[in-house]
Amino acid sequence: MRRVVVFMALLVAVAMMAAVQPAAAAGIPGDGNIDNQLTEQELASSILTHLAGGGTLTRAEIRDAAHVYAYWNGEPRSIVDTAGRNVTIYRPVKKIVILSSDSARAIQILGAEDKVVGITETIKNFPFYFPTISQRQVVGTWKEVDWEAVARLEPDMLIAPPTGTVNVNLAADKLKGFNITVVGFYLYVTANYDQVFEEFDELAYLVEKEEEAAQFIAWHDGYLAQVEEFVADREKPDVFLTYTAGAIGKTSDISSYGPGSIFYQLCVKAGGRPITENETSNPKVSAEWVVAKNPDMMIMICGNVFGWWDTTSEPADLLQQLLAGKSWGTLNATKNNTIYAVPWSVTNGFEHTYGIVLLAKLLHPDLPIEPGKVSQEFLEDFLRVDYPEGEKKVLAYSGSTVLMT
Amino acid sequence: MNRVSAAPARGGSGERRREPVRSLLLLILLAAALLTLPVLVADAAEVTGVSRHAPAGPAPNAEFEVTLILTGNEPVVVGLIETIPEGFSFVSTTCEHYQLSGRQVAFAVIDELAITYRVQAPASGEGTFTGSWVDLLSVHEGKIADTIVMVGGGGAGAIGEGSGAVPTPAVPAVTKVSRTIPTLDPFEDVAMLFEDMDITLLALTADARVSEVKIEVERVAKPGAVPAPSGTVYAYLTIEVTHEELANLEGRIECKVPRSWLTTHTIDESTVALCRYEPTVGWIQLATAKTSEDTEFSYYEARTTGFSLFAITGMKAAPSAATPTPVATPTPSGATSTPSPSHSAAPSPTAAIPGFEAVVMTFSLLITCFGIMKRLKGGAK
Repeated sequence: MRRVVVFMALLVAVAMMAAVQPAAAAGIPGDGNIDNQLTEQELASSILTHLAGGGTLTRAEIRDAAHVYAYWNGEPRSIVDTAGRNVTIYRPVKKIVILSSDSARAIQILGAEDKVVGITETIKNFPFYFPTISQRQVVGTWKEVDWEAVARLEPDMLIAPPTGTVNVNLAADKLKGFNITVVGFYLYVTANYDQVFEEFDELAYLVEKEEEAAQFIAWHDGYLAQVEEFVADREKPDVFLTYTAGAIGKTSDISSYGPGSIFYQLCVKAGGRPITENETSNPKVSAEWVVAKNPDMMIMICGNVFGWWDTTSEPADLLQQLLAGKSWGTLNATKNNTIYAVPWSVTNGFEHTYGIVLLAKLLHPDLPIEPGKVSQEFLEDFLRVDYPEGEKKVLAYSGSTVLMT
Repeated sequence: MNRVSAAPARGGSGERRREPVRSLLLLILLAAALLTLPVLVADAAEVTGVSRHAPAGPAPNAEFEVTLILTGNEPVVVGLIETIPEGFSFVSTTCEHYQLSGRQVAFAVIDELAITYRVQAPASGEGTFTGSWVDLLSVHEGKIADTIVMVGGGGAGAIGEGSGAVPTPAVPAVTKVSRTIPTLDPFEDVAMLFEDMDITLLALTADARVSEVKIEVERVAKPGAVPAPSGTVYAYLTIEVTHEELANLEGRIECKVPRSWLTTHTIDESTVALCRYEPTVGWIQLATAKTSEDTEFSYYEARTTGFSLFAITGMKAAPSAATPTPVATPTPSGATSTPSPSHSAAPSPTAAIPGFEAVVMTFSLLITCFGIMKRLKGGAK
């Protein structure tokens, strides 16, 4: 009896060890001389050995080798990620863990959602946006990740932000020894506007979706060019930018956006002139300062929604809270009824293409582009989710003006 | 060697140049291309089958050639195992990578769609060549249909010119397929590809937006009440297209005819035509053009304004004194002969239809997933 118990204990111990173990060894499978160049001879030799029932490579590894030979010229794929780390993959990426909704959006645009095996809580909360990805196993939140759960999923790759509470260096440290390629991408607009597209290109290269990336970038560039051309010679309205928690209930230390921040950059591209142009990237100002600057327009990003509100009640309530206690009755923005609430998501990752068009439409109402159409294209053509038909959507709200589809 | 070139390794520090005007042009070109080109399913690099060609009756003690033809697109990385029958011996191969172990020969076929190997026949007897293959760039794998050879003549693959026997027309691996197009926009050309069928492509265009377009293509026997069209019939097919809204649909049909059928029935390949049966009119021959050919098939294209019963027909070629029918000459014992290969028997019913199972499985999985998601959605309400 005791023997049986000991045996069972050993069995359980072995099973537990096997449950979290490093994935396949690094290097191109079949690259006999480990020179990172899989030759036809090496591939053929691996295949023949495998067909004869010998060798150490599994059928899946032989398939990986064939893929690397046929599509990668027999070489690994390398990039330098946004954290400045050299990232090299030696076989096709089949399983990915992502830690942000920005990564989810990028992966979905690339059509690589079937590769995702692990996600964070935020992604799970948006099944409409991420119908496939949101169903994957949750491994944590944006600030706390269960690294053992990640390892158990045996992903080939994990995408983490280069900086922040959970960052790429932390991930690489926690996953050391598990042969998981960790790559640092923000996949949202940063102070360097072009960076998000460089990251997108590099991600596409790693997951072999270059064509999909090119299609999206062409679509984005097309709208950006139209907006930039339209606003180029037009007078740029003065705009005050803020967000809910940064402005509601405050008459001093009101948060705004300065040069380098996402919202500021999008506003400039959309043909506006933020009144914080001489401030820091996260300036704090008083209600009086705003009165002195007398902006033509005010835009508050708010709401826990992606894309639009179904009714005007939430943005109306938020605008009311924004204006409460502030003596902004003399502002041009107040007189013009151009104090807008827009969904926060217009600045999110690759949704910002739509964000630029929406902001441009608010700043220059004669812009001949319908933001709703851009939103619909983004959802249907790139996220491949159904745009709810027949329902009016509140894209932006200013009390007297409701921009709807 | 025909390898797909990969993009060079790149660094992430270089500044990406934004060129809006060029990008706008690119966008316009992209949109124009999408509007003008038919929507085609991209041909994935994959091998969907392997066939063996060998002489049915090699001469005693003679060397003969066995050819393995891979059906698919490059790039190709395939592993093959051939088992040579008892008494026959492997001599050589054109394949660069192979390994001989007893009567088994393993081949690593890289970027080639055909390989040959030479075998020496025994003094007498018969044997069966068997084999299997695995495509290492897709999930396809399967068995190669057995080939029986009988030393000195006869054998299952021996049917050919002058033998007096008429081979049964080859039945494609797939004889019935259903497809659905969720929506078909006006004047948008939507094409679907068919593998292992007589029809290789069907492109549809509608003059108004239609949804839930259901397409069913089936190889059928000639219905009893329908007269035969003129000429020799290769196959009868029904193509049914149904949809929700009122609209006129037109189609472009691409089909293929085995070259062996053309030869056996002495069909002039330029006369091959697709005919459509209209109950009130009879058979209408559609304008049909030959588009290409390969070692196995000739490919044709025709346009139709309606969908019903179709027939692929051909007319006999006029007899020509200049092209005598080749007669097999017995090879002296011990001499080396290279008889023209004849196709091995059609795959046995138990052999896997590469790709088809995967399609069925994927479809079943999709339906299951859809059901589960629907249930989950329902439960969340």
